[in-house]
Amino acid sequence: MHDVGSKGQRHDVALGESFEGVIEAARAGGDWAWAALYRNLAPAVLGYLRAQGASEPEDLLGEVFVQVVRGLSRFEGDEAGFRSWVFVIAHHRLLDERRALSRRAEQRAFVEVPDAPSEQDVCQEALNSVATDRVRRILDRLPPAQREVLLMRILGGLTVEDVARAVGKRVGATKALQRRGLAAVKRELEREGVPL
Amino acid sequence: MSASSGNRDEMGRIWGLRDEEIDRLLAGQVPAGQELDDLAAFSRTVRESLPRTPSPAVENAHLAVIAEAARLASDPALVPGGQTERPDRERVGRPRRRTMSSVIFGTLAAKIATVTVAAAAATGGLAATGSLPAPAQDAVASAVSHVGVHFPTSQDGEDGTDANEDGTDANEHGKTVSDTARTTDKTGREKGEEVSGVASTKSTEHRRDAEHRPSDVPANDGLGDPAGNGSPTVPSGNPTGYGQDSQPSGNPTGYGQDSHPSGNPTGYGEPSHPGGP
Repeated sequence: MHDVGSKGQRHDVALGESFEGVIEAARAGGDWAWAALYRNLAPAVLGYLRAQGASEPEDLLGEVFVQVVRGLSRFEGDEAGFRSWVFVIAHHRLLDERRALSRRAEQRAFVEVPDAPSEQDVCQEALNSVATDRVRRILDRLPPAQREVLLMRILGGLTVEDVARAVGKRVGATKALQRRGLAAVKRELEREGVPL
Repeated sequence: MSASSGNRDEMGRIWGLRDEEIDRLLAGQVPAGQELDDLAAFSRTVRESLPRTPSPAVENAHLAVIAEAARLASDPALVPGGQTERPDRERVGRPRRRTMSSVIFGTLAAKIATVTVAAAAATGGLAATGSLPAPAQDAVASAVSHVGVHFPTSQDGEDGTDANEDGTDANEHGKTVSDTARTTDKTGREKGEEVSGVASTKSTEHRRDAEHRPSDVPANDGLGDPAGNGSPTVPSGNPTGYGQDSQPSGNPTGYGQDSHPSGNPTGYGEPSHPGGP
């Protein structure tokens, strides 16, 4: 859990005390509960899949949640743990897609396809677009392993241990990747010389 | 200072941080005593700007599939050796739900059935006939295409090979699919297979028509772009136009209308199936 009080961390506990009730209702097949879980997590998962260069991020998102339905009975944990679990599933689905693409020799470069934003997003998009573009460029320049670790930690809110399990590396190696990634990001930010 | 020594300095500074300080940085906060505002701002920007809300059409399609899969997953009648058959036996080893999952999702046929039922149920069978508004039709066609079921896309009917001008043929078939989904006595996988079978009778005809379309008519069978050249299978047109049309009246899933029961001020926390597992 990263409840450190910043605005950006709030989504880790978006359901808060109602989380257990939502999970129980979802286990019982409650539509409203699944809608709540989906709406709570889908934007971040979709952002992760897109930033990771998924070929069909929205299709993958649907597959991720079908997988969540299948596995929810075996899930145990709190809201942060649930979020981590969903991101690990997303990561695995992403790997599946990459394997399938590579079999078809159609691996695509990371191409950011802009969404048509919803109405409420328009103002925020305009305000953030410059910073967002810079962040995307910097992420795109990172080595894939460093980008993967940073995105899972920042966007998914996973712990280092969770990320290590997800990517199949030792905790020490995962820590090294995140430090190298942060150093690379800092170099890029300083090279551009403009604060975010 | 050379670039390489600068890089070493950066690495040295980052490597000198404690794990808790790295956690704070990644959370968008500046560790005490560190001049790393730029990295903290980077983390905040990633966290706040990269998430993307799926378009309403995509969300509706996903929620319909999720709802049907969840209904199947929570149906004890689908659990062989479940409580009704072994009420007194202590369960050891693999948990019951693991068995249930394997029953529901263990075969491709079940996956096909699940998605097809969801699509048919969510759209009143209209999706199977290509009778939905174009954005919704494309979204549903894309969703079911991943399990090998063909629903026509909005472009499929443009050559006029499939339906009468007023859509009578398609609507009739849609009604048949919808009626089958609502009235069949079968449940679970068998229900899915029956509905899938009824839906695919029209799809088969449609595909046959598409195979015989003139060479100057572009084919789009809704199965995605086999060349993988990046054409999205879900339309990214005006998302504000989806909200009204993509949700046909009588949607049995209830999504898009009021997914949070009234009387629950938080919208959460009240299980819809009290006493569930």
